[in-house]
Amino acid sequence: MIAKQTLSLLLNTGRTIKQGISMEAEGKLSEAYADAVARIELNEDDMKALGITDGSLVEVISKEGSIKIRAFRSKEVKRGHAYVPMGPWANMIVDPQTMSLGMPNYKYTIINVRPSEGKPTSLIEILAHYNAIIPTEIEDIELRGGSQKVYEYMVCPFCGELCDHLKLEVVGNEIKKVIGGCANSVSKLRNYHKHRILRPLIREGGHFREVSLEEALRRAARILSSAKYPLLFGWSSTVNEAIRVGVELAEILRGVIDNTSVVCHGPTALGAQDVGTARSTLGIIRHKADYIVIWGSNPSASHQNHFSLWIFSRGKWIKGRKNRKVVVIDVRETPAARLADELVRVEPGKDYELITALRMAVRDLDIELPSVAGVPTETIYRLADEMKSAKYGVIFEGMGITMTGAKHRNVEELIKLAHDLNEWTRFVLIPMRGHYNVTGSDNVFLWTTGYPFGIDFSRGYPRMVPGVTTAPDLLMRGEVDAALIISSDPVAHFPKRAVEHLSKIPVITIDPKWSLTATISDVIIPSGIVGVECGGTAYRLDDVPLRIKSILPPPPGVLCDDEILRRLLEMVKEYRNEGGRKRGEGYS
Amino acid sequence: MVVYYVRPKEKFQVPVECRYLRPDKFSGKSLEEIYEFIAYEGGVKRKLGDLFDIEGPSSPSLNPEDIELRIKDAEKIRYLGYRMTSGTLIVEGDVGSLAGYRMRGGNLIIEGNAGSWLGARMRGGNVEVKGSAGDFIGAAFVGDKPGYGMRKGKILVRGDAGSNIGAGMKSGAIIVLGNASHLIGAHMVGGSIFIGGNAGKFVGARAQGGKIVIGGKVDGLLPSFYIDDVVNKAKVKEYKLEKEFLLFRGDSVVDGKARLYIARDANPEISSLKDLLVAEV
Amino acid sequence: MTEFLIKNGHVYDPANGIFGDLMEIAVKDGIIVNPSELSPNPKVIDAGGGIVAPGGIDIHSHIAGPKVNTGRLIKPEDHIGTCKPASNGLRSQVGRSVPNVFKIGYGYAIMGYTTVAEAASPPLEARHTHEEMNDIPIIDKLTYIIADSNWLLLDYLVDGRGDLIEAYVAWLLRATKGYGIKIVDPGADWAWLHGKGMGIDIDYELPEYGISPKDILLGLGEAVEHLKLPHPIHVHCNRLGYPGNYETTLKTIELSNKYSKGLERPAMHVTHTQFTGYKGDSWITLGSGGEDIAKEVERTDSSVDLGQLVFGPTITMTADAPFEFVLYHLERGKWSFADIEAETSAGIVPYVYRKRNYVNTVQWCIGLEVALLVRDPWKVYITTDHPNAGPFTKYPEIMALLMSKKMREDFMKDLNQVALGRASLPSISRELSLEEIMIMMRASPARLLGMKFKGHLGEGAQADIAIYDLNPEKVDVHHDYEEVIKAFSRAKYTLKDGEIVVKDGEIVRELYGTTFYTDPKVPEDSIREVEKGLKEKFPKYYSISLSNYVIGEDELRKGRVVS
Repeated sequence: MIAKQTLSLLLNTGRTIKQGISMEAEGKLSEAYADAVARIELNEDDMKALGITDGSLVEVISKEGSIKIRAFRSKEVKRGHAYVPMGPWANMIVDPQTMSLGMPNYKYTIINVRPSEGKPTSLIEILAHYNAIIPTEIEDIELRGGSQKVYEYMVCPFCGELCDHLKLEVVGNEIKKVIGGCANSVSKLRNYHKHRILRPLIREGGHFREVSLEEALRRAARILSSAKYPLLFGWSSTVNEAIRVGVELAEILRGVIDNTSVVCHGPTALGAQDVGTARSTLGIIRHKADYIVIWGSNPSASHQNHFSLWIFSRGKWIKGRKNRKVVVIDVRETPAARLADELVRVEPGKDYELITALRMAVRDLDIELPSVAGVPTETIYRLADEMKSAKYGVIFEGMGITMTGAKHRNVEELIKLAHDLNEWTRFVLIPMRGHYNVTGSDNVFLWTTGYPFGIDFSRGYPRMVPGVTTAPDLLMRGEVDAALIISSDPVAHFPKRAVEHLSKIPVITIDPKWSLTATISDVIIPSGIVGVECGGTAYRLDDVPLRIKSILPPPPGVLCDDEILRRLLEMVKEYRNEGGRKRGEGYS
Repeated sequence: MVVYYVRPKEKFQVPVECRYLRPDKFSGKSLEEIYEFIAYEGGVKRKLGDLFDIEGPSSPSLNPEDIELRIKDAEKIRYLGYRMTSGTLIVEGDVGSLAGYRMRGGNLIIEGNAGSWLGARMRGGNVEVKGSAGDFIGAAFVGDKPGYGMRKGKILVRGDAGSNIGAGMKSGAIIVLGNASHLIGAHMVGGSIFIGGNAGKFVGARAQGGKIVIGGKVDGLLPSFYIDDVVNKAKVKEYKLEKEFLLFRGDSVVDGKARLYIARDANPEISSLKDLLVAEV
Repeated sequence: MTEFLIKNGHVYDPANGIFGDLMEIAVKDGIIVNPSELSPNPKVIDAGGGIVAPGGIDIHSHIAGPKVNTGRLIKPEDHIGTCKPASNGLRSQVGRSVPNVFKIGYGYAIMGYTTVAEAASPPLEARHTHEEMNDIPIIDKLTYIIADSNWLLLDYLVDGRGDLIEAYVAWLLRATKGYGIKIVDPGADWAWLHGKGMGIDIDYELPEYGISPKDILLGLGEAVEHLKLPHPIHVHCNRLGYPGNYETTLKTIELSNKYSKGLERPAMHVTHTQFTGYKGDSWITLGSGGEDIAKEVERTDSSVDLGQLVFGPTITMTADAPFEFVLYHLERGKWSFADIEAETSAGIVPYVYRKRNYVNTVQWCIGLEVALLVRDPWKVYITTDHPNAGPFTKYPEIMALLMSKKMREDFMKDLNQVALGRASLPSISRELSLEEIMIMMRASPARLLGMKFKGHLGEGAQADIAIYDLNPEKVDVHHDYEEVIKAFSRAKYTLKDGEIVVKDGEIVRELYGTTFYTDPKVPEDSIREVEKGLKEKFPKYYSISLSNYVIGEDELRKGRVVS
């Protein structure tokens, strides 16, 4: 008799290599993407207990809802845990509770899993729940031949590493080769022309109608100007020149401007607000860091060039990997852990206890327990000693720190640990920031408003209160009445409750590609892709500013983000000067 | 006593903020004057009379302590009771975030649930929530020096509450009769917190002083808290629990002298780990 | 374009020898012209008997760049209660000690300032400085580039090739669109990388390189003089913040005579000298070295700015990372630091200056003493090293303190009396005149920056003009200090490039100023040799490519070269 039962598990969600590649190469409406993210990874023994095998259909239930997806075994997943790649399936069940920090519990949802029959939940079903219109035809930019050009020292527009050593071989308007780029980079750049939005669209009845840019901008200006409290969200995958216009727009609209930090390294910024920072640029790591801690981050999936650039490489004082000790602190054996010298397994959600214990060990305080957060006390003392005797140490921290347990206080305590260690040696903390210009976005927000994200302009000046003025919370409480989404995809990456509200209010999307957010939008304005068709300033995850160059013109009629926003801003100003539609009367 | 009934004209779609919707601001004002008070509906500057119907006495009351404001359908009202000094404000239902922000006196009673940041940076007065409340109750804002949270007054939540309760508080009392979440009393400098039910993880993180009483289960304790004693009761104000409590002191990473009372019966794991040390004590 | 005729003003134009004469100033197309060049019936600005002066020039302030932005991040409490909503085409304003870009621009313009120098940019992140400067409205800007712990430069210094040092300095300024060379606790950031650097003196032997801060000062000083850069080396002395450090300051200032070429401007500028003017051997015995420093400045080809202390909460931010490490230990509050590869470091610590505090009172005295004891007003500049010693919005107060002994006496009543008992300030009776203040805040800074078109009201000058509601014939600046502060806090008019931007202390028009940088000429073969060296070393030292390091002119909103 095969045992069939329901198992209660702890769900973790996050990036995978396949998720990143398929997102760029095939787009989120593709089979490849569904294959990559509509899946749950379980421990082999848990699968046996459920009586299922690789590829079996299971129903995954949480307080938020349920989905049916296929289960696969994974060596990286412990008993009692589960992993679903980030995306719309995961977000149907993820725990949206943010602890008033703007950060949903992406890595910590209690689920029940049981074998199921029938068909897997399709993207169409999910999107139907949000009243989306799926485009029948998705176009690519037509590739045409031409002369070969080689571009050197190009800056990659994918992740926070902002690698600037890329060499692109371009024939006509086709990017043939990306030399020096990681898999994500190659995927993004070589597929820049795929599933593009090529003409402005307005949603009418049950379909999208092609309109002129002028008409789309007018409609967008009208929607935003008549809203009482619009949300302008995204900003992390575009350049500073566009972001600063966004701030001006939010200010004049008296709405909220927020960027994807809120669901990524927002807690890092909040931690810095409380205690300060301890940072260095990445070159220092290459030159001097002989002790490297990777905590709650898996660069092998998210920042694929990270190891080769900074850890395996040779610097002024460090001759290479052999002169460095690499310690991974995580809840599971990540691919990064396999490249490290030591894996310290910490109990999920308990990192704060371990950080406290390390601080105690550094200060020679007695730890009166045999273990803390699943780590033996002798290990803790040894790690502290190793850190103190290093010549230059670094802690790279990721979503495992910002999304779980104490969230922003994890980061605070890590910064304080770095501060404590500076009594003995030099130690820094570097956040593994995700999107290629989320750091630039935080910086622009800071110098124009004093805050890194979640900025409310309702009284005409900037205010920020985590949990109150942060996008996920605003959406989940249904408090905004219109939204402008630029270079991000909340329908794919926000919890269900937030997306439900987003689907009920008028939404304007500015994006080069068919994101899931575009499918629920009322106005869609196509933009050029930064790094290929558009350029500007972006900041690397260590705050070093670089200039992204453009090499090809955008498709005819398609403008770059900063130009689109400038025109939108002008129209909004006109609208308000003329009296226009009185605020609060809505639009028709 | 003089009562005002404040009702939104229409259901609010966006947050509403009015710093004058408080008994002490109504004192001495006619209804016409009250209707002229500035309010914000999202980012739109409005007048109170545009947004609310207000029933009240024909002639204004001069004593704010005598004034009672009753508000309904307030789930989207933010900063309700902002810096109020006296009088009574009753919410017949739920209220939004930041209720009782920087309150200085008077009574704020919420018959339903409260949002987050209840009584943040409070300086006096009395808050009672009959339902549940959110995170950062009586707290300082992120970035504030510890001690800029609640400094005086009392907050009582009869239901459950969230995380970071009393963060950065200096004085005053916060009582939650139900369950609470993580980081109770984080960064607190003084004052008292009572959780009747369970608390989550990391109780007392970086607390420098003050008192925390947990009547139920905690999800682990920070290693930086050292056992000090076993006592047979613990209380905050009139909320007393007559049973055994383990008394811890910490947070030692900040040389803290906060006192943490953990119920022995609800926390057998912690008790057993500490038995050896308890015997010494 | 617009034309104005400013009438009824007491004009202070020290560079052209005018001190309070009633005369007319004519503006046309953004330049000051002879009144005869205006068309008939030009628009008249009635100065109402008030002061007409060139726009103020601040030669040292932290207004833009990674340090400032980190300051904003870690001090959110600075933003609450200090806001002004956006209105009438103006942006919203936030912050007291680390304001947002709009408040900085508007704030300076309201005081009649039209040019501000960002005191220190790390070259690798200079692009960030320029981005922020692009967003600061109204005022003209420039930035000094930190060079003292720069690995490429240290390599050249060790080799002793003066020509290559010059060529590299020229290359660096061009690549970063910088205006001058900044030296911060020379060599300390290099030592800090190895966990050292606290309180090093000018003869300290730097690890691995073996050269000393003195060598760095002389090497860079020479190079800057040879290149005839408009601005001299701008020096934040070693041992900043340490009791007894005034001796190091004297040793540093003395070096200026060694390489001076007698150019029109000093050979060395020593900045925020208050922080480096301490006598005594501990905090308890802290005293003022102001007098000695004043004497040394007069004797040498140097100049100083005050870094005058202002009581109240603020935030310190500097490239002197080892010092900020020490300050963090004194304060035990928030701390931020950053190590920038191959170049420099930074530290940020919020701080509160207290009136009753012994040390803070001594510090407060030192700045004023230096200003009052240096006899030549062309050698001293008024700054608060914003925000390190205080916010720039307090300049009018400092001016008033320097002009009025009465104000000093009234002010000193609330300070630490023990400290005052040991200081010379209470016994100094000198009161600066309005003329001297005008020199210090307008004419002299322009000379220090080598900007012949600024800081004066002669024909051909940039029409950056400030008009204050203070009639020098009716108000006794030495006595009615409250009037002085009021008038200089809110200009009656500020003109920027010939446009009225401030009227009665309110911004009436928003426009964006110019970013100045310098592009010195060097012999071709030196450049080629440096470029060859860069091709080889840059990839080894830096984590970005050389082509991406260089900032293009198109990245500045409005760039202009000054030579």
